[in-house]
Amino acid sequence: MSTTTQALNSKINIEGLQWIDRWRISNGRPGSFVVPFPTTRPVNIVTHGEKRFDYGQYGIHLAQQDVLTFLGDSSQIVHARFIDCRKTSTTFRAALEIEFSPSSSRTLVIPPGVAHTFSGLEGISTLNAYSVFLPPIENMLKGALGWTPENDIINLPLSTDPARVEGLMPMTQPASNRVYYRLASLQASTLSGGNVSHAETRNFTLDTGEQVRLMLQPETESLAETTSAPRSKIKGVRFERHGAVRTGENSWIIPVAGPSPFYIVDHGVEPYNFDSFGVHLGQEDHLTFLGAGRRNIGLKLVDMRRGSETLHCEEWHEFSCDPQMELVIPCGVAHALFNMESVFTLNRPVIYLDEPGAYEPGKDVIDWPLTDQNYPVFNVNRQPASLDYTERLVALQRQAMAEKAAIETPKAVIVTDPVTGKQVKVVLTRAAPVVAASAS
Amino acid sequence: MIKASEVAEFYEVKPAVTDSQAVHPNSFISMMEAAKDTVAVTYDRLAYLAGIKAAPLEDQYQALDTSSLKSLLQSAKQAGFSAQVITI
Repeated sequence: MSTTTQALNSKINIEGLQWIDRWRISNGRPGSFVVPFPTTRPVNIVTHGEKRFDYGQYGIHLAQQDVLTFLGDSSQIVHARFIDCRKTSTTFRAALEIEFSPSSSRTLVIPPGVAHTFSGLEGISTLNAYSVFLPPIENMLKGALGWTPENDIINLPLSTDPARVEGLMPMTQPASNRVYYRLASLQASTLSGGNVSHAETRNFTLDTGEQVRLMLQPETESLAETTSAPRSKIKGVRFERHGAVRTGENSWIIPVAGPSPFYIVDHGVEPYNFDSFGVHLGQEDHLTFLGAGRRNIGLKLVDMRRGSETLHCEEWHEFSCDPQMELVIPCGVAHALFNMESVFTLNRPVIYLDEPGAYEPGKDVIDWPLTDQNYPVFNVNRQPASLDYTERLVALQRQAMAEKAAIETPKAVIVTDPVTGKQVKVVLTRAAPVVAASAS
Repeated sequence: MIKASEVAEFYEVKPAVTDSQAVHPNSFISMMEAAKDTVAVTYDRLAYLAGIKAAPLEDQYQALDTSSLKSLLQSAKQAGFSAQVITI
């Protein structure tokens, strides 16, 4: 564990609440990292706008463990408060206030039953790779759930006295992938109709003195009301809208379903422009750009797919960071991004395999010089990877991360073999000094 | 009707059950079983998108008519909310 994470954890007095190091590898430049998330499960991006943002109340989940990576300006200070509301916890009713800064190098784990609130989150995007817990199966079969699956959130006012909180019994049994895949499917169906607002549960006292508890949810907003996105003439390139859930005036939850494992690229704060095109043969990129909305990102595209009706078509686009927009770049379309400093890119690709099954996802980046317009033509993979394949891929990624290899992201270049005269792909992987997860 | 062995599949560590064990209906199992065309009805509260809802700057619910449950539900609808009674 890094010294920074140790120092942060040394202040924590609530059982199970903890920071963990985030495994990441150098992206070839100082301060820039690729941060893999080896999971097939859905995750949420949470955004907070750019004006001062405080939640203003505590939230507690009974069945959800929040696993939060805070992405933003590393000089910004976030304030957080917690109360342990778990009746059976050794630290029941313990309270904690901490401060921290965003970093892609660490993740905060908040167990179910721990009330939490944050302030100072403006400009920060939070990635929540949450875990779901269920009641013991005896209770599930009896229908005695002990929580409300339709709305797993209990709110407490900030003025709550920790010594007086009622004890809660959170769920304890980890859910299987089957539950996550079902949830992802439900999320996609629900949000296909447009953005929705988060439900809130409120108590009302009627004039008769009767108490009533209502769940209130503002009506769905049409996706057409959101900002316009660029359009591409290159076949298959598209800027799409993510469905989102409004949780406040300026805050949104944006679910990103799998099942492919995904990664974040932290581009650091130094000027960052691609120095060559990148082309994937078996990876269709699905990119979400997180950062200040006013930042203008440049994108250059060239279609290099054999047989494409837009072969060698070139395009230039400019757009802003918008966590509700997803850029899809098909296999074989070369791309280069510019003005990427202080931008975090989340890529949850769709993987395609080749006929012989020789495809290696970790080595699927071909570099092509930006200035060389003698564009090549590539055969791209056509066979969508199965769920079984992505689950095996996740297992391999976890194994690689456990070995703590000191590597950089590999690069591949196309060269002509002087003996055969054929073009061949050469994968270059440079061993680098160990990147401490504490680097920030 | 879902069997106990199918409910066990929801757990990462699959518990031992027999299909002779009764399964009582509950909202979680309904959610897991919901057909696509009933999703909007069963899932419109978006479980597991749960985040902390930011406290409103102005309490927009204070304007609702609390003279009766019926008028409360009607005024909530007029204010642009869907409202569901959880408990009375």
